[in-house]
Amino acid sequence: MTKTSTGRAHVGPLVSAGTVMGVGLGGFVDGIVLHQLLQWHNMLSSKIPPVDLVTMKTNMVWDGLFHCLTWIMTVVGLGLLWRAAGRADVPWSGRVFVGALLLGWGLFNFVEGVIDHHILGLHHVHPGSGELAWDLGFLASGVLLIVVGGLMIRRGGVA
Amino acid sequence: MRVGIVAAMVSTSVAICPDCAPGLAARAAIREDPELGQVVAAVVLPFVIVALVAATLHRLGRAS
Repeated sequence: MTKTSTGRAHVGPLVSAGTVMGVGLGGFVDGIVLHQLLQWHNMLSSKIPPVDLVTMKTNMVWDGLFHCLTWIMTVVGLGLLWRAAGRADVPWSGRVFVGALLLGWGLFNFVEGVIDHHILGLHHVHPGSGELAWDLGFLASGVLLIVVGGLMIRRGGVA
Repeated sequence: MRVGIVAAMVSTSVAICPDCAPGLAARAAIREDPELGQVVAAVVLPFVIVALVAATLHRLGRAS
């Protein structure tokens, strides 16, 4: 399970790889499920409500930029994972990696929620009555994922 | 009759995106948006922050 050459294990490279990939994949969940499948919101739907084809297309462009960034994060995470895999001092733990993926997903939900939903007001999770509750629920999902991911990393990590 | 059908096909082909009127209008609206830079920054900002957090985790893990 653990591969070390110097007797010391460094879990950081695996955690950062999983975290960055988790951010990217978590962003894809948001974009695919909430933007496209359910169509609850789009990237700028609070500033430019998608009420006709032009405003919808404008939002689609910004959704595209958002998906570009999630794609970049996923690819960077894959690159970091590739590098970590080549290191003898990095413990190759599935629990640590899955924990880091959840940590990254939670980080994405929390940071994106605070900035885009609460500070900048670019969009809300489910606009309309009760939108604050939906936004707070999104933040709570982020915290929950961070806690679960952190615990998994802790239990799977090698000192 | 045939001319009418051809005219309809031509007008339809002109209206097909990406050069359809709504597509052109959306791109123009984005280009002419005075807050374009701020909007780009707003979309990018969460990713910058989580990348910094990931880099911090990497350093902490390396130091452990």
